[in-house]
Amino acid sequence: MSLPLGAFELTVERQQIPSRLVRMAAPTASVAFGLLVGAVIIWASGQDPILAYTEMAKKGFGGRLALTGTLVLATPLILTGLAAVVAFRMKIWNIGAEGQLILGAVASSGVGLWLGDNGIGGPVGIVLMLAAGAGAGALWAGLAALPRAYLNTDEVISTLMLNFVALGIMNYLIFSSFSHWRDPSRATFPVGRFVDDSMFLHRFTGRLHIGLFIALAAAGALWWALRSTRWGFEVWVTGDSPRAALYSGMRVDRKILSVLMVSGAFAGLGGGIEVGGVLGNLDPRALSLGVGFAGIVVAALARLSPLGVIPVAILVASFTNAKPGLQVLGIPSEIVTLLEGILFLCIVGGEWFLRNAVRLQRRAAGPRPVGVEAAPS
Amino acid sequence: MRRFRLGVVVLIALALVAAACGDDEAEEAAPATTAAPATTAAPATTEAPAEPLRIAFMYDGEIDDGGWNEAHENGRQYLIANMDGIETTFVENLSPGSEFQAAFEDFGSQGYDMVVCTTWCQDDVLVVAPNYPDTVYLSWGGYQTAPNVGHFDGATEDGRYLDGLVAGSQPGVELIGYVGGFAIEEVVRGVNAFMIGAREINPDIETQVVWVNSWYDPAAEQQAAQALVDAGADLLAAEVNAPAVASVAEGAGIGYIHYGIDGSGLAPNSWLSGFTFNWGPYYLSQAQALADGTWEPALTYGGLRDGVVGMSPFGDAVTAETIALVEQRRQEIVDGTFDYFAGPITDNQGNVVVAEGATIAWEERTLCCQWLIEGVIGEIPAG
Repeated sequence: MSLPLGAFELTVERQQIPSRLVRMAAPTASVAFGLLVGAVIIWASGQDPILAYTEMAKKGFGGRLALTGTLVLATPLILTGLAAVVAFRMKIWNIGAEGQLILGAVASSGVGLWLGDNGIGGPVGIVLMLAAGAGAGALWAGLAALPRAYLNTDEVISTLMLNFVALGIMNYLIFSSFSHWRDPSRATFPVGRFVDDSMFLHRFTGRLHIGLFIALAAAGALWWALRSTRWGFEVWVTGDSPRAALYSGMRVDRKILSVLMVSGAFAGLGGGIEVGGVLGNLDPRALSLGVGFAGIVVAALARLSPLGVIPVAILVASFTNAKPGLQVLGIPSEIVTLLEGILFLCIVGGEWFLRNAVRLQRRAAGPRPVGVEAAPS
Repeated sequence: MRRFRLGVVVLIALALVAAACGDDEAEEAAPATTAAPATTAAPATTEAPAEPLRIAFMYDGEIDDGGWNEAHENGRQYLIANMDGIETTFVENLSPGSEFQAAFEDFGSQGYDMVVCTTWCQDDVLVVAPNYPDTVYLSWGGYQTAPNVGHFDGATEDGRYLDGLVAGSQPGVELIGYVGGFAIEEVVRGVNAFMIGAREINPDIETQVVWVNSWYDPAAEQQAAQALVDAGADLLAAEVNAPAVASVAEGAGIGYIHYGIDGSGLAPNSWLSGFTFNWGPYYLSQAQALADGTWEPALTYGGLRDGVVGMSPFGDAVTAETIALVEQRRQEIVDGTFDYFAGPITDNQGNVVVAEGATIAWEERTLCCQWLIEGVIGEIPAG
C-alpha cells in the first residue's frame, strides 16, 4: 500500500518478524510508550503524572493489601481472558463471556443455595457449586455454538445478544421476583440469599481466596491443551484454515462446538468463583461490570497466549484497584479507563509496526511493481 | 533515496516531547499535590485537635448526577461547612463487590476515622469492617449493625406524599406517569405515599408506573417517559437519576416532579416540585458523635421530622394555596398530628392492606410495601 505525499510517498510493506528478542521486547516498549502518552494526557488534564503513576503502582502492588486486592480483581479477568483466548485462537468470536459469566454465577449460587438447603456443604459443595458455574457457562455458549456449527449463523451476533438475555435473567431473579435466589427477609434493598459459610472459598490472606489458584491452574491447563494435545492442534489448524481442516478429515463442526463451550466454561467458572470467593450471593450490581468484555481486551493484549493472560489481567486489575487512591489525589477515575485504552492501542499498534515496515521515500517515476501493492493488514 | 523508519521516528519524537513535559511537571508537582481538589481540609482553628477527623465518602455514580449522588455530595459539603477539625475526601464511580471491598479496606488501612458508603453496600462493608475496628463505617439502607458499622436511610414516602399533594392540585391532570427505578419496597412505598397525596386533592386521579430496572439508564428512562406521555399522561414524576424524564416532560409541555434533589434547572418550564434528601445534618451528627467519643452503631431512618427530607423550591405553576397546604401538612407531619398512612388503605387489587384505625408504623416503614395502592396502574413483578 502506498500513500502519495507530494514528492514523497508513504509505503507499507509486510516484513519478516525480526528476531525473537525484538519480538519479546516489543510489548514492553509498547507499554512504556503507552505510559508516556498517558503521562502527557494526565499532565494536560492538570494533574501530576509522576504522582499518578506512583500511586497506581503503590495501590496496585505496594504491600500486602494492595497486592491481594489486585489479585482478587484479576481472578475473574484471567478466566474471561482465557475464554477469549481459546475461542479467538480458532477465529471464533465469542463476545458473550459477559453473559456466560453471569449465567455461571446464577447457576453456582443456585446450586450452592440448593446444596445448603439440603445440608450439603464444605469441599464437596464447593466443587459442585463451581462445576455448576462452568457447566452453565458452557451450555449458555452452546446456545450460540450449535447454530454456528450446524447452520453457520454469525456467532458474534448470537453471543452478544445472549449477554442481554443473561443480564435480564439475573436481574429478574433478584430485582423482579421472589425466586430461589432472593433473600425474602431483606426489605430495604433486594439482594440474593447467601450460600452457606462452609462453601465460601478459602481466604488465605486479606481477601485473597483460592479462586486465584483455580484461575492459574485453568491457564496452565489451556496452555498445555493447546500445545500438547490433538485437540489443541486441531484448534490451530481449523483457525488458520477451516477448509484445510475439513479436507484433512477434522470434524470442524464439533470443534466449533467444543471450543465455544470450553470458552463459555472458563467464563462461567469465573462467575462461580466471584460468587464463592467475593460475593457469597447473586449480586446483579457486582456481576454486570463488563468483566466479560474486559477479558477480550486482556486476551488481545496477551496476544492470545494463555499464560500471557495472567500478567496482563493482573496489570489491568491493578489499574482498577488504584481507582480510589487516584481519586483521593484528585485524579478522576476516567483516567484509568483512558490509560487502559491507550495501552491497548499502543500494544496493538506496536505489533503492527513490528509486522509492517513503513517507509517514507521519494516517489519513483515509473509504475510501481505490482507486488508492493499487496496490502498487509 | 531517503528512508525513514517512520514508526521509530514517531516513537522517539513523542518520547522526547513527553520527557520534556515530564521535567516541567516535576517542578510543578509539589504545589499541585497540596491543592488536590478532592481533599478539603476544614479551616484550622487554634483550638482544633492536632489530629483532624478524616472522613471518606464513597459514591457509586458521579457526584454531579443531578440526583442521588449529588444529594449525598451536598451532604458532604454541608459537613465541611459546619464542622471544624475534619478532613474529607470522596471516591466516585465505584462498583459493588471487589471494588467496594477494596475501597473500604484502603480507607481502613489508611486510618480514616469514618467511611460513608452512600448506596447499598452492607454486605461488602461487613466483609471488611471487622479488620479495621478503629474505623467507623456508615452505609445506606443496611440493617445489620456491627460494633463499627451503622446504617442510615431516608423516608422517601414523607417527601413523596407532599409531592403527591402538588401533583393532585394541578388542574386537568387525570393520569400521572411515574418512572420508577426498581420495583423495590422503598420505591413502591414512595409511589403509594405519592398517590395518597394526589388523591387527597383529586380522588379520581390515576398513576401509571413503569419500571426501568436501573437507577441510571438515560435511554430506558427516555423511552419509558415517552411511552407514558403517549399513553396520555398529563404529568410526569420520576424516581431515577438521569435527567431524561425531565426533558421529556419539558418537551411535552406537561408538569414534572423530580426525586431527591432540587432539579428545577432540568425542566425550567415544567418544574413543579421534588422533595430533597438533606443528608448533611445526619453526617454532621455522626461525625460530631465520633469526635465526642459518643458514637454508637445505629439504624437511622430520617424523614421530615429529622430534617433528612425536605422540599425544593416550587415551580411557577404551583399556586400559593397549594404551597400553603403542603406547608401545613409538612408541619403536621413534623408535629406528629397527621399520618398519611392512616387506614383504611386498599391496594390496586382491591385488598384492604391497612385496616381502618391502623397505620404503617415508623419502625415498620422499611418493611413496607409489597403492594401498589388503589389508583396505581401497574404491578410489582413477582415470581
